[in-house]
Amino acid sequence: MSLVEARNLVKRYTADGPKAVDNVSFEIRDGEIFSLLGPNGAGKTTTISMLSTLIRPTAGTALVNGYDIRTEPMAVRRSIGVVPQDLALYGKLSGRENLRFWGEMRGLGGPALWEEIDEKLALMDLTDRAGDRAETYSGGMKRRLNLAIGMLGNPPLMMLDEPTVGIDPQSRRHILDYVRELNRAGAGTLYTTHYMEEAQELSDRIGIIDRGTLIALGTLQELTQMVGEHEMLRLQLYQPEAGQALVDGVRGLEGMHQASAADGEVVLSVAAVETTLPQVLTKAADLGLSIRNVEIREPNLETVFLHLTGRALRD
Amino acid sequence: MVRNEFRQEFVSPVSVFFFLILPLLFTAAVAAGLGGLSENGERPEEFRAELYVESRDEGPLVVAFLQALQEANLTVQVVEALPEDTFGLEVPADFSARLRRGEHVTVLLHTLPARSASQAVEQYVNAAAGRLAGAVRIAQSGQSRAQDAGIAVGAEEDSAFFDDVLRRTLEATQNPPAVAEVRWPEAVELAGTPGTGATGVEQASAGQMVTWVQITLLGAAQVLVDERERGTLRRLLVTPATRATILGGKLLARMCLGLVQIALLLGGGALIFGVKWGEQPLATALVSVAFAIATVGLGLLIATFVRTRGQANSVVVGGAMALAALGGAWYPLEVTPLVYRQAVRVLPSTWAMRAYTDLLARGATVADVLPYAGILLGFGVVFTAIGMWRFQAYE
Repeated sequence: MSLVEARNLVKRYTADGPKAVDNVSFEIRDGEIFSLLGPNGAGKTTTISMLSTLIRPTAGTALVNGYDIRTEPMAVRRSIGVVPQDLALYGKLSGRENLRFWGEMRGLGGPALWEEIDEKLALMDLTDRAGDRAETYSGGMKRRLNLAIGMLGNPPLMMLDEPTVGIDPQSRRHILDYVRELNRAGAGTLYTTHYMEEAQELSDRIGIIDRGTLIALGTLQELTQMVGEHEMLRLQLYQPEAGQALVDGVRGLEGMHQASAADGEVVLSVAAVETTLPQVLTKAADLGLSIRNVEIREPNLETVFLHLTGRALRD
Repeated sequence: MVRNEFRQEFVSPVSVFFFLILPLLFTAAVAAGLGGLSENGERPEEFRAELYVESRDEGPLVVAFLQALQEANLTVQVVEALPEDTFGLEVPADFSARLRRGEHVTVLLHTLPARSASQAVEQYVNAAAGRLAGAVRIAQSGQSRAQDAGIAVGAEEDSAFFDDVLRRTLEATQNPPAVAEVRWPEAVELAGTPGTGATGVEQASAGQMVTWVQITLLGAAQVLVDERERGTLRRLLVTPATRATILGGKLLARMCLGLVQIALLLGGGALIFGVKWGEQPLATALVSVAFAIATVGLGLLIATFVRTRGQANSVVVGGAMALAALGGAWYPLEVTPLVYRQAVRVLPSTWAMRAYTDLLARGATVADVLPYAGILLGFGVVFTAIGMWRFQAYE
């Protein structure tokens, strides 16, 4: 059975405004980790908001665990766990009290809830601080508590909206491990992120979303095959502000497929590194630019995104 | 959800200060200030000003005038010379003679503008003078008709006839056989009759309670913004609870907080200031619940308009203060013009204050306060319905 069948979802926030999500369709299979990968503002949160029944689609619909998000929102909510992008905790309540409140809001209660709270606190390494106010927790601990709340009731489908934004690498590592653990326990997962590495590491299948449109969908292997034989060159300049000038300079070079500049880096998709790289270095020298670092990568999701949109994922 | 709200509200001891202690301190301060309005804590209707009268006339009409003054709620003291800093009245030597002849006569009233009772004393003296003048006119008219009919002959009989008609007229006007009962267009207008208000401490206790509880109840406006800014509203909205349940829980929690505060402030008012809040417990509870519903509903309505915590804070505190001030929580509405009293009927705080002061000053029963409670509930239903409708569309 499919956990999610999204059919032509469209969302406009105002009647004559742009489409935040435009005709998005995909499926999440039982026990699968499905990632929606895209830059900020691509429509990931809007998609997850529609699927979790927080907002109504302008057009299209979806079945979540077999329930229609338009006509059976309560059944959908009972069958999912949501971890929102922003921390959704009561800072003045302790970690345990937070879990109790949210558990009760999900209709849980009694000894079963108490047991589950203890279990989740242990799973998230929060047992020692369970009685402390959540506002005194570190950022990583708050993220873990946020995740634990979403897991209450062990729903068959978890929706995680960029759960690792703004946290340290160690906490991120923890959260990715928990997501995998959840998946091993049988829960399907819809995971949104703008970190390519997370999507690559976690996902069974990946949907790439940009400007509200799902532009690619498949396994990592299927997606990278879209790029063909292209490889990715990543250059760091000593003059980060001059990235766009270099991009403009190398666009016409032989074997150059895509070029993009972002965050002081120039990302190039090329047919053959051995022939194109010397030309790029020469062009940089002609422009008076100094190369600090060159990285050659096998095709990955960033290459795919660059290939499909002409922009880097972080643009 | 209610337990959650209570836990968050009282997580700091400072909350108790704003919830209970500060309102009681303000009650004490305002009661002291309003003491001047009600003369040492007596009700306005019990108030009798002392009036010193220096009369150079000892005629019968002066005696009748003094009697009329006495009956007009003034304690009259006849003196040789008017003392300083008192309400004083000078009666000229020819007072009786001129009045008897139907001529215009002037008495001189010395008032004390700094005293709040000045206006009342002036009204009482005018009322007594008017009553006497009317009685004299009637007696003269009767005497004239009697003379025409040949009933009374001779100066002595004429005078006796005049005195008899005057006495009977004054008695009749003191206890008139027909009394006009003034009623406002609405049946619920029990208050508003000058001179039947609450004492200073009663006004302060009711007024400060309404003021501070309004801040708590209108705090419903902050609840949604807090949830939104904390990020918990989105999470709440994807739990298997309807929006009505979520909102109902939030509002119920706020209402419970308000009712607990009302109970504490009523108890504090009774124990510390001796205000007789306990005489009509059912009626008081009815008014309080209706007041809480109306004000929480208004808070919900505001919540759907404000977008930030700063906006919500400003509107809640400013709104509560404005509603309290306009609705008569800071001073008795009886001292305001009629048009003002009619205008502020659109505010729930006005009806709450009327109900609470009626409970205290007139011992209003459940039946008496039902109209007030009905109006407050009406406010609550309208505010809540509009607020719910707007909240359903929230994304």
